[in-house]
Parts: sequence; C-alpha cells; structure tokens
Amino acid sequence: MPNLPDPILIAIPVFVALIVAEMIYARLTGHARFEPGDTAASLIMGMGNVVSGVALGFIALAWFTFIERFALFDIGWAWWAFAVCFVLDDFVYYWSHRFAHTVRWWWADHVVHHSSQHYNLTTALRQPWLNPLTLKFIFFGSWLVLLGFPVAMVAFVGALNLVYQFWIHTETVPRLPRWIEYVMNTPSHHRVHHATNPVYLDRNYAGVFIVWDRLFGTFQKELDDEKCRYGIVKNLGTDNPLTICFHEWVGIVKDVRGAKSVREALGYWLGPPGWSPDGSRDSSKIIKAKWAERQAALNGAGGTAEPEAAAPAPQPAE
Amino acid sequence: MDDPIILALVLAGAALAVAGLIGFNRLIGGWSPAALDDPEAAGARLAEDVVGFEPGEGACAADGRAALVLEADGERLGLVLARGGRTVTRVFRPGEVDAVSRDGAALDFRFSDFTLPRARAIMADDAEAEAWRSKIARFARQS
Repeated sequence: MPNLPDPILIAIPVFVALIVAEMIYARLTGHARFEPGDTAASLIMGMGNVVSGVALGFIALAWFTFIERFALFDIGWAWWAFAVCFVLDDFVYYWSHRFAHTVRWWWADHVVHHSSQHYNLTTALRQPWLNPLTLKFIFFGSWLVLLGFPVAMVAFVGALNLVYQFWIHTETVPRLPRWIEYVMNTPSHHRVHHATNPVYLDRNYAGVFIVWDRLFGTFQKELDDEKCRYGIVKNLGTDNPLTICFHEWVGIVKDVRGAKSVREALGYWLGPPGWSPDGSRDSSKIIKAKWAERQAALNGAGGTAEPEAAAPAPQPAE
Repeated sequence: MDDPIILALVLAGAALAVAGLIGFNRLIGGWSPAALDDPEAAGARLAEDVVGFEPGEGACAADGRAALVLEADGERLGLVLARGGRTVTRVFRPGEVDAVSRDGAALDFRFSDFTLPRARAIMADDAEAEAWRSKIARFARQS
C-alpha cells in the first residue's frame, strides 16, 4: 500500500492564502462580501469539523475495516484504479449530497454548511460537527469498499473531492468557458446550489462533475436575471456555532416529541426538511410548486394546479 | 494525524490561522450593518423569502434594526430583523408568536424558535408602539 498524503492537510495553507486574497479582492472591488461574525462562525465550524473528524472518525473507520473483507474484487493500487475510484466516488457523492437535502436526519447535519447568508471561501469550511453520528457513511460510503477499492484509496479520493469543492464557494469567479461549465462543477453552478430562490432550491448537487445533475434532472443554470440569495429557507439570524450546529437536531426532537403517531414521528425524522403531517409547513417541493404556480399566473397561463401537483420549476437549457 | 503531537500542532496552527483571518476581516472592513428604513423594502424582502406573501401596512423601527409588515389581507404578520449586514425574516399566523409586550416605545417578542427566541423593535414613540401592539396582538398567545 502506498503512503498516501492527506490532501486536506496539505491544502490548508492554500485555503488560508486564498481566503486572504478573496478578502482583499472583496474590499477592493465589492464583488464579494465578508462579515467578521459570519467569517468567525464559518471558520470555527470548520475547525470543529476537523476535531470531530479526529474524535469520531474511528466509527467510520471501524465500519469500513469490517466490510472490507466482503469486497467483491481486489482492485489494488493501479494508477487507473485511482482515476476510476475518483469518478465513482463523485457519483456516490452526488447521491449522498442529494439525500442530505431530502432526508431531514441528514439535512440536520448538512444544513450547517448552508446556514451562512454570505457566499465566500469561508463558507466552504462551514462544516458540521456530528457527521459520523448520522451513519450516512454506511449507506453511501460502503459501495466502493464493497466493490474492492482499498479503504485508504476511497478516503484519499474523497479528500481530493472536498479539496476541489473549496474554490467553487466564491462570487468572484464569473461563468467559465462553456465546455468547463458543461462538465465540471463551477462557482456559478454551486452558487445556484447555495441559493434559496425557489427556482434554485434543491439543484446542482454535484461535487466535481456537474454531469450527474444533468443526467439525473437536477441541473439548474445560474440565471442573469435571478441573483442568488444565499442561506436557508428560514435563516438563523445568529453566528453562534452551537446554535448553528444543533438547531435542526433540536427541531427534530421537538417535532418528534409532539408527533401524534409513529407515522408522524417518522415523517418528522426521515421525511424531507419542512415536512409536516398537514402540509402546513413549506418543504422545498411545496415552495417550488407555489412559485411555479405564481409564475404561471403572472404569465397569464392559468396557474390553477394544486401546489403538490404543480409542474416543477422550468429548467432552462444551457 | 495519528501522532498526538502533530495533531496538537495542526490544531494550534489552525486556531491561529482562524484568529488571524477573523482579525484581518475586521481590520480591512468593507461591510456595513443592514438598515431597515423603508417599510416597502422590508415588505419586498418578505415577499422574496416567503412565496405568496403580499405585503400590506408596515413600519420600521426607529433604529432601523427591525420592521413589521402585515400581509395585505391581514392573514399573516411579517417580521424583518437586521442581523449584521444581512436581514432575517419570519412570518406568523395568529397565535404563532409566544408573546408580545410593550416597554415604552419598544415592542418585545418571544418565539418558540431555537434560533430566534426573542426580538425587539424600538418604534418611533410610545403611541406608535402601542398602535402596533394592538394591531398584532392576535398573532400572540400572550399580549
């Protein structure tokens, strides 16, 4: 087994240098925005994520070490295996990320990353503290190990994937050449992902290759006449790291405690964020449907559909 | 990162870098606090955040840190709060606010919301605060 470096550890000085550069660029041009309270919250969440990774990482490591013996193949360490593993890991990332937005149990963890109303390089580092406890790695991390890719290789390409995603958290980079925008996840595509405008909600889940979104119908181009508004549907209004970390978990506990049946409890726990038994709260699907209905009415096309059944938001082709 | 000494050094370095970046952000400035001085703009912000919210009568706090906007049909109360350079919005139906009370020109709100348990809107004077307290009393369980 080759001695693989930790890409994230190597990248940290580069991250710091790029954040300083973006802050200076923001000050000089106004093309990005930073606010000390928000910056502090994002960076403290990032540091906490590293600490929790060290403290709780053994849970995932123990799982992968356990399942490694059931691998279908022994793929080994050939150069091409790294390339294949990187692409397949990104495919798995797409689905893992998509489920992180559509299952409240996993959203409670991932919402941390979306909780800033700013969008700059520090937002990339705003990461959850309790990720290993959600057990998402069992559902999405096991596939490549069971196929036969070495655990260390899967961890290595996963770290490369995360390092790639750092630079796309910026407003300073406009759209890139067409072929890059077609294949790769870019700042433009990821701005859409972080935006709460109804047309942008729950779109562009990709990590490195945006082709997954194009393939599975979740792609949305950044529109010139629809400026991204960043954050979450119900913004927090606080930079307190503990509130940022725990707020959705607290919400789940409160809702489940108040549930009137097992079905309701399961809905609050594993349903989409914003789910409620009577539909009185707004999930992304409901917001998008209301918005589509409103757009249709504004355009004189009727707009009589029920919110749940309304057509999905238009997906302009690139 | 198996070696505890290396781990401690990495964490110490990261903590220093974090402190340095926050300090640098403070030093170079470039942000300004959000100011809510136009009820129409506050209503527009609510309409952006809550699909279908039709802004009606509104008022901004004297310090520009809060705005109250009733929906045109009176169904919902919208609250816009300045938080740093950004604004945060909430919309309530009757009975969804825990409590509203008046303290001179200030209106104090309490919510069952882990991320926003309370808010204060300092109106222009006692009379305006009282007028709004009575207008929005039905949105609170206690008033």
